[in-house]
This record gives sequence, C-alpha cells and structure tokens, in this order.
Amino acid sequence: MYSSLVRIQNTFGFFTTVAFVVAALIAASDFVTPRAPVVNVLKTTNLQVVRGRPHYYSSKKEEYAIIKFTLDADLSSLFTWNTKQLFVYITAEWPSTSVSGTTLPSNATSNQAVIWDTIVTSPSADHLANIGPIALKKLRKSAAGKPIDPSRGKITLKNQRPKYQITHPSGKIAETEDVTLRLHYNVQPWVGVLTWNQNADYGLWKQLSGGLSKKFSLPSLKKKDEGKKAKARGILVS
Amino acid sequence: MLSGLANPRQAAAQLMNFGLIVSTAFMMWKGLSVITDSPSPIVVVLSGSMEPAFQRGDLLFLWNRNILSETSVGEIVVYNVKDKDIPIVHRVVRKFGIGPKAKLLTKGDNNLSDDTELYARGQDYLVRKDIIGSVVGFIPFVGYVTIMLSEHPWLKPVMLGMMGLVVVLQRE
Repeated sequence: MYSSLVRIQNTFGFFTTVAFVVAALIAASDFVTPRAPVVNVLKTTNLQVVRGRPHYYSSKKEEYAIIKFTLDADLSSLFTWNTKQLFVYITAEWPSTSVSGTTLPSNATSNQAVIWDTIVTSPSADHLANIGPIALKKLRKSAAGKPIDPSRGKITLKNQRPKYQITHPSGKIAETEDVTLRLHYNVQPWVGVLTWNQNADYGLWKQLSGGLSKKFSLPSLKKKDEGKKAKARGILVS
Repeated sequence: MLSGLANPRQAAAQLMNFGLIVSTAFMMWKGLSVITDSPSPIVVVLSGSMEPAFQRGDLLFLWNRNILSETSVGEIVVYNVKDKDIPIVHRVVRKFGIGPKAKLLTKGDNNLSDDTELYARGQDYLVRKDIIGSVVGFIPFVGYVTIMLSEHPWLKPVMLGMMGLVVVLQRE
C-alpha cells in the first residue's frame, strides 16, 4: 500500500484535482468582473458596388460591395487576467423581403456578412500571435511589461478599407436597402467559457452601448463610362 | 504475477470490474453526446487555422442545440466536409437566410481566405446540419496526447503495454 507507484498515483490524482478546481475558479472569476464596452462612432464613409471576381479563385463574376467605415470603440473593460484575446468584427446586415417564397417581417435581419475583423491579443498571449519577430517585439513593448493591458481595447479607425468584399448567394447586391453595420466582439479566455456581445445586461456585464450604424442603402453598380466621378455615396435612411 | 489467473473467481471479478469501468466511460460519453445533441461533444484542435485563439492540442467543448437563438455569424463551429471525416473548427463569417436552410460560410481566423475551397465540389455554402456543434468552452493543451497518438501510431501499443504491465505488476 505504500509502494512508490501508489504514491505517484496519489500525487498525480491530487494534482489533477487541484488543477481542475483552480481552472473552475478562474473561469468563474470571469462572471464577477464587470464589463462595460462602449462604441462611440460607427458609420460608413464610402460605399461601392462592383461587378467582378471578388477573390482571385472565384470562378464567376458577381456583384460585390466594398463598405469603408469609421470606428471609435472602447472595449478595454473586456480585458481581464483571464482574457487571452479579443476578436472584434463588424458585420453588414440587411433583411430579405422574401426568403424562398414566404415574406418575412421587415425587422428580420436575414443576411449577415463580416466585412472586417481583428484579433487583439492580451500581453499574456502575445507569444501566440502569428506575427513576425519585429512586430512581436513592438507589440510586447507596447504593453511595457504590464500583465494585462486594457488600453489595447481602444480601437480607432478612420475611413478603414474593409477586409472582405461581400456578395450575396444570388450574385446581386447592388441597391440593397436597409443595410446596417454592427460591431460584435468575442472574448476568448485562457480557461473557461467563450462569450460574445450580449443583447441585454446580465448581472455585472453590461450590453454593448452603441455599435449599430444608421441604415444605408448600397449604391447601384459603378458604370464604366461615367469614369472616376462614379463614386456612389450611401443614402442615410433615418 | 500469476496469482490472479490461479484463482478463476478473482480473475472473473477483475474482468467484470474492467468491463464495468469501460461501459461506464462509454455511457458517460454517449450521455454527453445526447445532452449536447452532437455526435462528438469534445474535440481536439488539429490545425493552426484558428490561432492564436486555439492552438494544436486544445480540447474544445461543443454544444449543438439552438435553444435561445440560431447559429449566427461570429460563432466558432465545428463541421465535417461532406463525405470526409475530418472535423474543422472555424468561425462563421456569413449567413444568408434563416432557419435550417440558411447558407453559412466559414473561415479560420488565421487563414487569409474563407473556406469555399475546403467545401465539397459544387458546394458554396454550409447548412445547419453540416455543423456538429458550436464551441462554448475549452481547456488548453490537454488534448495533445490524442494528437501524439494519431501521429505516432507506434505509441498506442507501447502505452497500452505499459498500462497493462503496471496493472499486472500491481497485483503482487
């Protein structure tokens, strides 16, 4: 009963039990830290719809939309000691007036596409970010040795070009009405539950305030013969 | 070493014990499968396409029921490409339509382009039933043993041999 093998087994069992309990406590600590993310500005600055191949590997030509935007957000309260990274993304959403024959209520956003995203790592996870050695050094210096750096949650972008050109399965996206931009975030913890932005206040976690742009309509296709002056503007619908 | 085999009753009791342990583990796995409505409720991350969020060897917990809301853009889902048995963990980036026929497009955070090239020939979008679950939580690094076992298949009989040896030697 006192062989070294039994001792090793007991130690290992104790280690796993302790590790499990510590992990559960860390995951639970997320729920008692308050969150109050805020978006100050989210608006479109330039809209374009072009007919062509959206990616180099596309086999057919379709209409795709390029939505440039300005963003000013403060998501610093989402960074805790348990945060590994924050995934922030902006989606363009618009309703379809009819889906396979049935008409939907007008407030159903049945089309969503991500136009831009970014990964904001916490200093504790910088070594995992896939960037080159010089950029990594710069990233580490920016945190200046702090274990958590909430200031990385402040994002300001002006007239940002989107990462993705969006299309619709039908191939047509020009002159779509009631399009809005919405900011979302996904908090990735070191241990525990993945969380997204929520639709209501839950306990100490506040809903994202702001984060929805005004409605706009996508312009019609850029006509080649109008030349450079054919930069269509978005129409704001209040 | 042979004391267990000399007494058939003890050997039979040991065998039954072993059988009970195996079937309990199996039933717990299947029970979890039923609760989460996913054929594989716990998966191991195999590739680096979701870095830095998930590294190779992380264990992911899946949930496949849409109780409060539908699977929406931004969720991290695990899906199988048609007729292939490799689960892929990526994020949903586009959704068109609502309900089970809605068209979904996925993309790995660390990939430059979306998953259109990974889908079956002629398939441009996924639908809800291609997805075997959305990720709700994870434990880092624990699953690396599975990856090592599948990439170095000689490890399996070695490990089983060692465990068998330990069990047999313990009966002293």
